[in-house]
Amino acid sequence: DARHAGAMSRQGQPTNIVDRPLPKGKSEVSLSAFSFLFSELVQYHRTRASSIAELEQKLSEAGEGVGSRMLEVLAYRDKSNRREIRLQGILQFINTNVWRCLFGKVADSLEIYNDDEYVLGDKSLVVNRYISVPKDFGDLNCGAFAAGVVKGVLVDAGFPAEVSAYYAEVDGQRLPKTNILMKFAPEVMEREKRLGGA
Amino acid sequence: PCFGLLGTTPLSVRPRVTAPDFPAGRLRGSSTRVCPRWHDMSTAVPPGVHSIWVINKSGGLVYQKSYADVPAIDTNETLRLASIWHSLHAISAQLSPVEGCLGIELLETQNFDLRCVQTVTGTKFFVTASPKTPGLANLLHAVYDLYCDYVMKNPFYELEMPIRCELFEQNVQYAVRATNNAFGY
Repeated sequence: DARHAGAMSRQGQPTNIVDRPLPKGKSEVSLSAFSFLFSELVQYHRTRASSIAELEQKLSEAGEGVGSRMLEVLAYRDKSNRREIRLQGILQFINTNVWRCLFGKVADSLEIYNDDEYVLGDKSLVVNRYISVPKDFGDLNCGAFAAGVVKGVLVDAGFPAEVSAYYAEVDGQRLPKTNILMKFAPEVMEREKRLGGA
Repeated sequence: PCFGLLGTTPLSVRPRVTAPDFPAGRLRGSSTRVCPRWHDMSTAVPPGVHSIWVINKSGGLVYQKSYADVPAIDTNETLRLASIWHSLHAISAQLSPVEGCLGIELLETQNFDLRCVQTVTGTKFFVTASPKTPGLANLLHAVYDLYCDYVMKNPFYELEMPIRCELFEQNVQYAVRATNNAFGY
């Protein structure tokens, strides 16, 4: 019904939510609120997972949903309106845009390990800030959530990859930094080669 | 001639007592352990913060750590002392002639000071330190902040259970060190 589809409320905003413009973004959320919510998420999955690997898998899946939505929103807000088709491009996008939008800062380092393995480093991952993993959980890293976000972005942008998070000791720093390892599927590397450049 | 234990000034020699001293001596600051009544005890008291204790709302001890060279207390004994303190704190609030008393905040003795803070949820934080150490109330509030951050937001911490969070312990250590350094200890 055309009358309802274009109906405007008194403020001049369309009443239908799909017709309203996207909010500008740049809104900050309380770190405490997020930490408590994330803590509950981890506890929820902890009672339902039978192993550490499964727990990390569940956290990663939770992050994937966030990642794919972030890709859409950030690509929309990006002034240049370009779609990243090169590996370097999408990695830079994650490194700066995604990290800045989610965590308020750029990721600390982006390195290449092998031909198809890239590592994003962060000295103090926000999701891990208040978490002390007890010894009997081995090398569980709740940064698996951030790894899931990265995976969501990569997969939806057309760069299928296996992404995981692990701790890495750093000389001269008391707390280990979190590395997010991205292993790209062979078709991605082939396409990169075809498009020119290593 | 009598020589002091530390080899500095001679202390008056008294035989080491084998049974705890009774009320008058105990209230003046000896711990529950055997302690000889020297006249010049101040040289034996380590300066700065001695230890930090955290008690949950039901009176159980969740955290206790010493930061100075004080005699170690057996784990079961610490549990007992914490629950006694919990009871004393509650009793003192009821004994007060004035409305709205919240319980013991400061206990001053000859050899140490004890400052206690109770949160609105009933968790108690207390610190023992050498007499007249400044900055203890701030230290306790800092420890409370650290508790809210590194213990409450930790998904692996079970409520009311002993605290085993590495980040909490590290940061409390820094806070204690900062308090000691700020006042030259």
